[in-house]
Amino acid sequence: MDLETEPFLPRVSAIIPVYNGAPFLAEAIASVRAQNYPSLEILVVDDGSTDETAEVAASFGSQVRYFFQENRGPAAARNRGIKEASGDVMAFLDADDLWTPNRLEPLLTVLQIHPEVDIVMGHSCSFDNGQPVPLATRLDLAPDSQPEIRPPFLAFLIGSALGRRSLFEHIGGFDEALRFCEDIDWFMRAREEGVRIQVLKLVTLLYRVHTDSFTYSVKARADYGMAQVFRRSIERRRKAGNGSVRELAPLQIEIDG
Amino acid sequence: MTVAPQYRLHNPKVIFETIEGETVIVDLGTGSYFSLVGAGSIVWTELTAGRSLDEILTRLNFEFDAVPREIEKAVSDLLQELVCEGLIIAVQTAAADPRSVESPPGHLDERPSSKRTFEPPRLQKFSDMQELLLLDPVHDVDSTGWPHAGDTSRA
Repeated sequence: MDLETEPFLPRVSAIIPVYNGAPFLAEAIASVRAQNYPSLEILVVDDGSTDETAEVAASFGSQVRYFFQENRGPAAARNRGIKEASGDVMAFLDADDLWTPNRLEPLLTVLQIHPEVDIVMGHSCSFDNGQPVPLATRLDLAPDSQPEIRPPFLAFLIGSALGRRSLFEHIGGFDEALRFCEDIDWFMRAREEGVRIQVLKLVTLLYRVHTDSFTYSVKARADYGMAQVFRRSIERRRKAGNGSVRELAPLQIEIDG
Repeated sequence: MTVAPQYRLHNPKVIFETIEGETVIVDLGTGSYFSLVGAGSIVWTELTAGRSLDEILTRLNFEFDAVPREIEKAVSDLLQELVCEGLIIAVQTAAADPRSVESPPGHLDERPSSKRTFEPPRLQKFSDMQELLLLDPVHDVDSTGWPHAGDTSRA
């Protein structure tokens, strides 16, 4: 897709849900703006923050649409963003994570060329909070150019993906009853419906790890959340299959770089 | 004294939960996940609670309407499958005193009003998430589901 000559550029809504994320928000917004994509809106949905999140968002002026709501969790904040968005394509970024440079164009190109694809996603690369942000964005470049960074991984992190707006109208938004793994739940619902998901050989999300916040009790609840999400998917498929549970639709994973 | 196998979780990357009588086991190392219902869910729950094979068989014979040999064979098959999948490992241990299968185990205090029909447990395996590495980074949030608030250290 050539941004200079393309007659119709899909409008992208970048939704950033945030709760007390003021220390990271400006960097997250900057990583979206750095895409230099002309048809883009940025929505910050503040889920009841008590820190300086509102001030950080306001510092971007009209470049950011800011919404405040009472604290209802990340799923509700993302859903609010979808409701307020005007774009054809929904994109997400948690306030403490970062988009990789130049990730939007290759992802959008897939949606432009392949109308049968509804979700396009890349890989993620984690980094410890306080440590340098990895720069490599190609899977095959990462180990050599920055040997100190961790290998990219493939996970159902919504920040690594783009989805057509029509898809959210079809399968719904994020389940607000979930506090963990709500993005895995959303991806599984999409796969249960046979939605085509294209995976690019590209790092599209830099995932910040807060090692100091990771307590045993939280991990136990998160583990429960993952098992709960898997079980819900099995149960839905069991009902749909009159007792038999079929496997989910496969991902379309890019082989060549 | 005889030596009987006991089983314990093999892989530290295995997580599991039992929800409404269905046990879901997730192997975070491979992305495979598994479902056990009915007697299979009971076997897994008892096994991960540290109960011996004898104790598990006693409980199943207590709850289900089947000849002990049928239950023993079905449980043996399931345990073998769980071992093959790398979810549990057999460890040798001294056997407890033999018990009658008609005697309720100590942690069961009431006999069920009617025994349930026994169906041999089946481990259902799903491989449709194997491409995805389900490691701890996706859990890096606090108890509200948000990234840790107040974490102000910067890159």
